[in-house]
Amino acid sequence: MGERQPLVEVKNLVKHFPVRRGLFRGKGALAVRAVDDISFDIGQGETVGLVGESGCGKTTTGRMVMRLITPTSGEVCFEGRSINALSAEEEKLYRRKVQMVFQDPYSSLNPRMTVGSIIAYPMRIQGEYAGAARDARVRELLELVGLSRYQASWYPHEFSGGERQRIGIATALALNPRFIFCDEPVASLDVSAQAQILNLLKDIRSEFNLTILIVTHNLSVVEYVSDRVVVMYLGKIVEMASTSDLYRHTLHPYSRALMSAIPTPDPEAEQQREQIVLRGEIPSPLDPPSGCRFHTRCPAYLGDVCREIEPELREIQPGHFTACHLYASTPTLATTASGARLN
Amino acid sequence: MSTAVDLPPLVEVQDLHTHFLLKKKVVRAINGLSFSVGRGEILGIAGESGAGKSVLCLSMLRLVPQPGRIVGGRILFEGKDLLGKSEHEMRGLRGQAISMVFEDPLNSLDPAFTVGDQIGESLMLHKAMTRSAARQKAGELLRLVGIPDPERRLDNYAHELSGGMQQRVMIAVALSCDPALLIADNPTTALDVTIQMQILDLVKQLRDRLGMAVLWITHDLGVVAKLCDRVVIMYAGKVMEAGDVYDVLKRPRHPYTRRLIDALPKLGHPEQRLIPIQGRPPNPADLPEGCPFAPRCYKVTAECRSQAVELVDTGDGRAVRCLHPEE
Repeated sequence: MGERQPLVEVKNLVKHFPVRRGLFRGKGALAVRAVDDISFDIGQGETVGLVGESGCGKTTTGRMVMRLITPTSGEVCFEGRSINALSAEEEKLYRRKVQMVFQDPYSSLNPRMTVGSIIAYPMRIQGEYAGAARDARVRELLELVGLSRYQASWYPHEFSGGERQRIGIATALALNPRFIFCDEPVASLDVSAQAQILNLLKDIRSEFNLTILIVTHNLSVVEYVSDRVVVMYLGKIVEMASTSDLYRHTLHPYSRALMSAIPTPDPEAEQQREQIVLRGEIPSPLDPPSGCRFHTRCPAYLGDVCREIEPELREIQPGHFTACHLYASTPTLATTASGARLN
Repeated sequence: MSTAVDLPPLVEVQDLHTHFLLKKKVVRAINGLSFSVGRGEILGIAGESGAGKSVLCLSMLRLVPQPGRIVGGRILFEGKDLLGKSEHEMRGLRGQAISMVFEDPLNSLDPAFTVGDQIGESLMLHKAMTRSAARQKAGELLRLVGIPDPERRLDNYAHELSGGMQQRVMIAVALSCDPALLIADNPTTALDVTIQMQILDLVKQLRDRLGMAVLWITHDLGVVAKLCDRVVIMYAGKVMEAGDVYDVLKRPRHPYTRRLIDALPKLGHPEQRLIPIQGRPPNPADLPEGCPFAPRCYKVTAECRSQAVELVDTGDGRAVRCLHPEE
């Protein structure tokens, strides 16, 4: 996977949202550090899962890739070119290549438009598929996502949550994009609909050789659909690896805790596996902890080093990165988990 | 953990029917539901949205909003039928012997009162405590639910707390009068997984320490596996299957339970393709005559569609409503 030409490169991306404190004080130095210097890339045809809890910056990252918000610093490159400074025309072309599937299939579809016109909307804006060809394309897309071609004249309220999410996916596919960003695509769905949407995502991805960035808090969903996983905590990447590596050889204590907290419906596995109950709450991204941002809750806290020095994201095994002082004494690609201090 | 088999259960719901009587149709949200909760037991009620789980909660507290009505059945609490009680008697029970935690903690807490006032309110009302005694007890309750620095937190307002802390406060309010039964309606869906883990851990500890029974309503079978002793699988306002959590999730007998499990991604087995449940849940205003799951079932036969299927007790603490159960 690593040898593939990256389609999307995220380089030292930072997003700080300045906060006003009180009416007259104006914008001070205070800012929500939503994303704080992260880098990763997404290979052509690869599905990358971005996981973490609320406030970790996963959605903000996705939105910067979509060029919906402007980074404070750093850049996103698409097909080798930075998207920071696109002309209006280039931006329109970019919008054709990247599409998004939203979390809430209820509020993301216009209730006054028929499903057919919702799906045709991106084609209208981009001037693709005129007249009868556009109607044919709408019908084709409906069938592609498992709905009936006759449903083009229906309104969104006539569909269930899972079916609405299919409509969202059909809309995203309308312009034959290269890249799709899915923001919590199954979080608001029932289990049966969730399974249908996850299978659909897998199918369209192999059928159209799509590159997908999927943001979710659900680690079992990520394992099912992704090739590679990026784990974030408070605006930082704490671990990044291929899905099988991450799930079999979890390195970072936060990833481990996250893994153990995923409820699985298998009571036997539930009894056997490691149960890590983290102390405390997720700290405020307004004032993240010093050193390693996870040190306030870390079950493997080493002492001063964690509190004072921010761990670097280092490649511990080929393709397996983590930012943790537990692995600091492994200068090259070895796997010792000693707790030696940095000095 | 099946506690006290010979003692009568704390709660027995028998053939409960809660309907919403609309102008032109009747929405049958709860449709002949029966189950029991033992003392000190954590019972999970699991099902998809629209199964009637939340209406069940409201029915048990007799808080079903208009035009909904409990039209049949009995809810025995400590042997006495709640449906025969006066509104005055119910007020004495709610928040006292039976208390409830809702899905969205921020909407259930009053933004205009401090946390201490809200916990203290039920103590002053139900236990006739003085203001200062109630405040002290409120502090103890906050400590019990694992809130650090409880004395200081008493003076906080709801918006000053995180989602996990708010849910802990809700649990503290619910625990204030030592309830025999705690009803929790999807209380962790709005929380992050690591915080959910803390809350599940807390509920288990509290059950062990205080001996209360818990009715935990959820759509997440994973949460059921982590927390509950027994589980009831609900569909279209009926019990489809009930039994020990381990047995039901390991060897589901009802095709619906089986499909619910098959539809979930399993940690560690990403190669297993998910099997979605085809079709949609039935419209509660227009339920099919036979088994409500028949239109979506892989084992369906002609009898399933034509005759009403009874919930059959299979002896080993399990019950299943199916003509062709799995072995």
